[in-house]
Amino acid sequence: MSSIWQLIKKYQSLILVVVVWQLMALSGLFSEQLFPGIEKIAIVFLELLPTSDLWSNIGITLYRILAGFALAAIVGVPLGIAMSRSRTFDNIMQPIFTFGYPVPRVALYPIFVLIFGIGSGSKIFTIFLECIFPIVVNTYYGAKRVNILYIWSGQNMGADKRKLFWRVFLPGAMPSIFTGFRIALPIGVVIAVLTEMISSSNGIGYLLTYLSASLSQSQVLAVVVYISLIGYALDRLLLYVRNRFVYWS
Amino acid sequence: MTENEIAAGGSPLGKEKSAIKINKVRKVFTRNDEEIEAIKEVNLDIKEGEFVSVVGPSGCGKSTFLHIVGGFIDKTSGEVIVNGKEVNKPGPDRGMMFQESTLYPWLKVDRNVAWGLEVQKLPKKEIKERVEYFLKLVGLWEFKNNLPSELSGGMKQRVSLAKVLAFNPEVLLMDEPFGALDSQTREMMQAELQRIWSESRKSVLFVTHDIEEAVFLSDYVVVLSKRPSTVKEVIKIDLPRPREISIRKSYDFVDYRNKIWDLLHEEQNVKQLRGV
Ligand SMILES: Nc1ncnc2c1ncn2[C@@H]1O[C@H](COP(=O)(O)OP(=O)(O)O)[C@@H](O)[C@H]1O
Ligand SMILES: [Mg+2]
Repeated sequence: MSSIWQLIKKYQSLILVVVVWQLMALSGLFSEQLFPGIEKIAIVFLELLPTSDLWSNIGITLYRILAGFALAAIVGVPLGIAMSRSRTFDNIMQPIFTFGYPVPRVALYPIFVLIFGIGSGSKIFTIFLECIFPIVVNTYYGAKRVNILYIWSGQNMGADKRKLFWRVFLPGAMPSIFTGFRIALPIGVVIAVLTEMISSSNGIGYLLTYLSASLSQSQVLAVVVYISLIGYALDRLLLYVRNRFVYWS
Repeated sequence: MTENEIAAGGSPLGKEKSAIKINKVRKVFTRNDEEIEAIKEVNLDIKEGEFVSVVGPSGCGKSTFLHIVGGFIDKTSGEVIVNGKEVNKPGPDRGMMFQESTLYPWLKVDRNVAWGLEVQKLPKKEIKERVEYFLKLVGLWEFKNNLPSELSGGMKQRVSLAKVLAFNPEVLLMDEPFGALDSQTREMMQAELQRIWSESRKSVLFVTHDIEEAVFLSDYVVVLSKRPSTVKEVIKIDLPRPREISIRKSYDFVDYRNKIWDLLHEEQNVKQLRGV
């Protein structure tokens, strides 16, 4: 009983949105096409659930998100660390990150379509470009802020450079690295959907555009709910991995 | 007569081997083109097996001084000679206990204590024994599986103490190691440190702001002036050993305490006046 109450309390803002939505839908002020009731959205949601259409498109989108994100992590973490440790390298790379950060990389997507084609390549590359910025920047500052006393203490006990790096420096920077990941991953989701909406023949973003052409808001909204669930699930997964890796904070 | 001559002259044999010799060490920090002279000139000569405390007004450069002896930061000029060799880098010959906790937050307590021993590639069995012995000594053996974040500030200091003692360096450098402890635990730890020191006869350079602690533990108490610091006076503590806790009530003890208190307050008054 009390656990249900706690659940309600935890998600009260979400529940409020749903309730307000439903009241608006019931008020009759808007056409049902534009403002379908929650139950209508739920029905479409359930109708979509068993379709292979939905799952194959979700699969494709997930693949793009994870590939772009993984590439960004694989390149971004070493890059951020290298920049934090070498002044020369920092000086070389810094302008890219100061000037490139506010640039909407996704605006270059049409060019990437020309280069990589309309398939997954252009989308993965755009996701990669969007994700790598927060990963590099957070890794960089995290690495810079590793407590110098941890390094000194390691040196004091005779640890060589290699040991200091793997056993002191890297764990010390790990919390910030994961902060970067957690900022990057939802961006990856958004960019995947967005690029699929702009030009694609598959993926959940494509499905969204396709259904919106039928002017049925409930279908569009049901897909939006699916996208939100994907985003939520991915964040939970990352949080789980983070808590395994960075169990101390 | 320089301070190190005073220290050497005060030593009972006079020609014992030096463990740590500090010659004209000076330190100027540069930050944003501004120069901060932390240490003007410090000379010291610590003989093998001596326990020497450093007291001084806060911000006078005590930590900076220990970091220089530890080889963690560069000195602007001067020499630090440990066991006959000039040192510029950190090394396992000088075990440092920092003012702040340097326990790795990602390692459990026992793994933290074992860390340096693993780096030194000691046999597994010996590491285990030493970790257990020293964690029991500081009364935290039952916390061996906890993370540092689960300990209080005082408990962390005790683990750090266990860590540096388990590491067993020739020279101990300690920066206010008991600062975060309540007075009872602190007295207990002081007594333990005295016992360990008298059994192992390590050379100890010990920074504290607690005058009684300095008198209780030390052969010599070095009083630093306010920043930029110089050695204001070196006081030989001629109290019999082993010292019981009750020695704090003795006339001689109180006399030393008052003398150092006066010296420190001369410094602090000047500082306060300048601050107004
Ligand atoms: N890295 C640094 N850069 C600039 N100034 C510093 C640095 N470290 C310490 N100082 C300054 O040097 C002085 C001595 O500091 P510290 O050695 O920590 O004093 P204490 O340990 O005696 O309290 C202080 O004025 C402090 O602000
Ligand atoms: Mg200090």
